[in-house]
Amino acid sequence: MLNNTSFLILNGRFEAANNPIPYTLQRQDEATINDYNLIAKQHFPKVKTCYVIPRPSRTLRSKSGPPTDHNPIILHLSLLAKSTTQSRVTANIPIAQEFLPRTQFHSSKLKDPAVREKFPHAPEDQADKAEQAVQTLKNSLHQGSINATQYAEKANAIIVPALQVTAQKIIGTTEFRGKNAQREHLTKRRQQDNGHFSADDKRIVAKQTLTQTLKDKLRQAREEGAPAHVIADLGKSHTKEKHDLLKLQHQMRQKIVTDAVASSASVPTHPKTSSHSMWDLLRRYKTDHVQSTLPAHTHDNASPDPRIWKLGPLTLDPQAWHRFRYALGHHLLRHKASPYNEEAAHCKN
Amino acid sequence: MRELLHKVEHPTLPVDPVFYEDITLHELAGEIKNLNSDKSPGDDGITNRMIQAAGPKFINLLHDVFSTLCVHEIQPAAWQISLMQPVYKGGDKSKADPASYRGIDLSSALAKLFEGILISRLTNFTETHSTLTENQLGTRSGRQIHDAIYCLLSIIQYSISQKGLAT
Repeated sequence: MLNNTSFLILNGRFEAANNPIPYTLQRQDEATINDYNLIAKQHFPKVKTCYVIPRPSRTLRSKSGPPTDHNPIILHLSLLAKSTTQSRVTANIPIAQEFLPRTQFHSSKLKDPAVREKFPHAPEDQADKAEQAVQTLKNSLHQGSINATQYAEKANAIIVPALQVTAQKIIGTTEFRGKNAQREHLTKRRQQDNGHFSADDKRIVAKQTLTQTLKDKLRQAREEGAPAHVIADLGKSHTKEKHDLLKLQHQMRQKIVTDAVASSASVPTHPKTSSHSMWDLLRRYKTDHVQSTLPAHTHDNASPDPRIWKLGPLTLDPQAWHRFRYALGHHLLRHKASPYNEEAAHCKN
Repeated sequence: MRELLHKVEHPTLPVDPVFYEDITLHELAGEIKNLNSDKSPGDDGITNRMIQAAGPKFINLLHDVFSTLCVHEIQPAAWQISLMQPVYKGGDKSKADPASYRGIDLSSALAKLFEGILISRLTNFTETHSTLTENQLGTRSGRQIHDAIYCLLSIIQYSISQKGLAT
């Protein structure tokens, strides 16, 4: 477990070599005890202090609960709110090791058929070079000049840059933006597009406007240091309006689906139930439109060997529930193709 | 005791070819085709979409490397490194509490592709040889927890009706 990448800070349980403390499994239920802290090597310079809280006396221990040899450990780390070059220098951490943004290519550009077509042709030279290098590596592996681990590392170091270089050339990398920068970017893009982003439904547009107005008011009140009750009221109103907006949007989406299903099933097969219920429409779809794909035979563990499942016909004993597995995904209860012996099970309704 | 143990005949189980056969080009191409294009990349920035868009030459290259790695039962150390992206769970949870964040693990796309081939082989083996019990519903294709819930309800319904307790 311990290697050169980690440090283990013990709590002193193993410190007395000549007087080993017996390990006990008992401890207080509500006590939170750190046995040790395992920290990464790169964070080791951040450790300010580290000490063990002294063990309480035997009398105290007997009062507070069962005896234990665990001691809490206090570890103070000097963590900075914002990383600066100075902090890295003092902490002796290389820049590449910490806070360096990861490479992110503009992969969504590959959705464009023109770019997608261009992508495999661009790395021809890269693929050729990589192919030669991998072939050389393979020969070295067969000759025994490198071992399998070295082959794996080097092959990965060939393939990954080959793809990365191609991606850099064709699709480029994405910019890293903070939360505010991203918001500004989106606003700018919307302005550039000059498109109509409001919803088509007038009620939703009105709700969106109201929600945004309340949101702006709330932000303004916070900035101006308004009284707490004013901010609380505005916050409540904003939350309510936002909730109403989401509800309205959900209803609109649901209406689209129900309209589509209702129009496809124009002939009512279940006149007693309301045709406007979503569940009714779903049930009707499952009952009337689902095709049965049930197999005639299924596996059964009748053999004494639990690993062997014999193929046999379906039985109608509902307690052999695994046999109905095939039917269950199709929601075939009360369906004409259901293998479930509903009469035997006295299923009513 | 050792003598006794030596006398016990250990059964020699037949090894399925799936465990020693080379990775085929067809297998790799199928796995690449099935990759989810919209997954986030790992530390190297390579996405599934990039692998899918790379040409046949690159796929041949990958096939060569993957076959060798499979034969030697090894993988690069870089594939074992993953990024942990904390995603705030929202609600009233404290932003200072680490438990308020869901950790999203971002591994290398190449590593996931290689693992996908191995998983496909193992799944194929377990399904064709029925090595898993029928009661195993999790992590299996075409099965879901709803099956178990439905069965449980059916059994309860049946038992109640048999005892005349049905209303």
